[in-house]
Amino acid sequence: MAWEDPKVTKLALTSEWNKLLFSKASMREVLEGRGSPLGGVYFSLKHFPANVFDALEQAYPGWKFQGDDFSDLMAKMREGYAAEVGPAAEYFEGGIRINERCETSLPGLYAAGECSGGLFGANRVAAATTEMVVEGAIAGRKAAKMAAENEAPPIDEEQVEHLTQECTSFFDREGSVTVAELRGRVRNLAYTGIGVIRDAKGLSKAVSEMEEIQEVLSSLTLATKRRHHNREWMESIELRNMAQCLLLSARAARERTESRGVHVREDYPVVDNINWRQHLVVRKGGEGIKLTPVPVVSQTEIPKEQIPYEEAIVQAAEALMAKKELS
Amino acid sequence: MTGNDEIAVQIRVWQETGESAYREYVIPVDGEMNVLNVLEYVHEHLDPAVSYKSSCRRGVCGACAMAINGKRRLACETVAEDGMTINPFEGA
Repeated sequence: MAWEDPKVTKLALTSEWNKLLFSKASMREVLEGRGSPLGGVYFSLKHFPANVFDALEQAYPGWKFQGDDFSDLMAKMREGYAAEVGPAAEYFEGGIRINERCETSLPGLYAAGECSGGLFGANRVAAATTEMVVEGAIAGRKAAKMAAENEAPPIDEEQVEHLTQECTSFFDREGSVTVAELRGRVRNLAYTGIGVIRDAKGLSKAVSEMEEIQEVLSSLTLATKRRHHNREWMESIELRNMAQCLLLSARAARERTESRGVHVREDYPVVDNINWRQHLVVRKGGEGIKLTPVPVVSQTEIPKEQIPYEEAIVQAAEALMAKKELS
Repeated sequence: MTGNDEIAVQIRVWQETGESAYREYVIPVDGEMNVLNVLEYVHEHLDPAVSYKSSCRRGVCGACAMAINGKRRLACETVAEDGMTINPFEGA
């Protein structure tokens, strides 16, 4: 484990902070050239004595967990086999900006659950299901009230025409790039440039490459021209949205010159509570991308100081352990 | 007939003519593959016309329910085998 302080290691092994701490630690190994052949790290349970393994199996009968069957893998793990594992996306801290009524900037449009942003700050340690249920109830009630009290707003025919044209234009494009090819590039860029450990150089590269991909999208060619049962067409539209979201993510991540929660900047390894105790609101309108810092609304008083990233985690771990001891 | 490290499957595909028909594809097998892995491979490397629905890829959501050898199955939970018939448009 790449964490120096044993308190952080304990946090990684015993709390919901594990996802953050494990992914950073394993990515660090890969970046420093100690990764496994497929670009991950080895995960072994060999240190578990047999009776502890038995107890673990009783906790997960048949080695089944949330619909997945791990029995084959666990049989091999028991023999001392190590699996190759690597970090992957699980939850997005950012998202559509909403207020406490789940309203977006568009009147009548509400957002709830993981697609919304900001509820958990820089690292989600509570359940996303709770967010989904609570915000879903709020958004549902507000939307019903809004719909009952207001006439449906007029539909902007010009915008409908524009969007239809944009989606169907994929059929008219003549180029040499395939969806699969471009999708692979976008995925790779998201992992390497806007991934677990970031810096200005990588983020700038992600920004310029994503802009280039947006250009290339206009010369994308569909092999499948029919309008129904066309996965390739669906993927093209998705790809356009993916490139847009990732470009905005990269711009925001480059702007935030600090490390906080899941956002770790190699070139700014401090939690900056002087300049960055703020949300970064990203807006893309006709005039281009706009990034606006907005102060966090919180009743918790935090000293205005800069703390080295790992020290900030130790502080959080200590606060968490003190709370547990009290309760 | 195929070698040990590849399998041949029949997949129902919509044609440009507006009708659907079965086509045969030969897929290299890397360890154990499920039917969804097969569809993904064919769509990406052999024939983008092959279409199907999927979401969670791990047996929770049900999006990849389809007819496999005439039976209703989840593509992500069914081990791919040589000679299989896959119809992504039935059994959902």
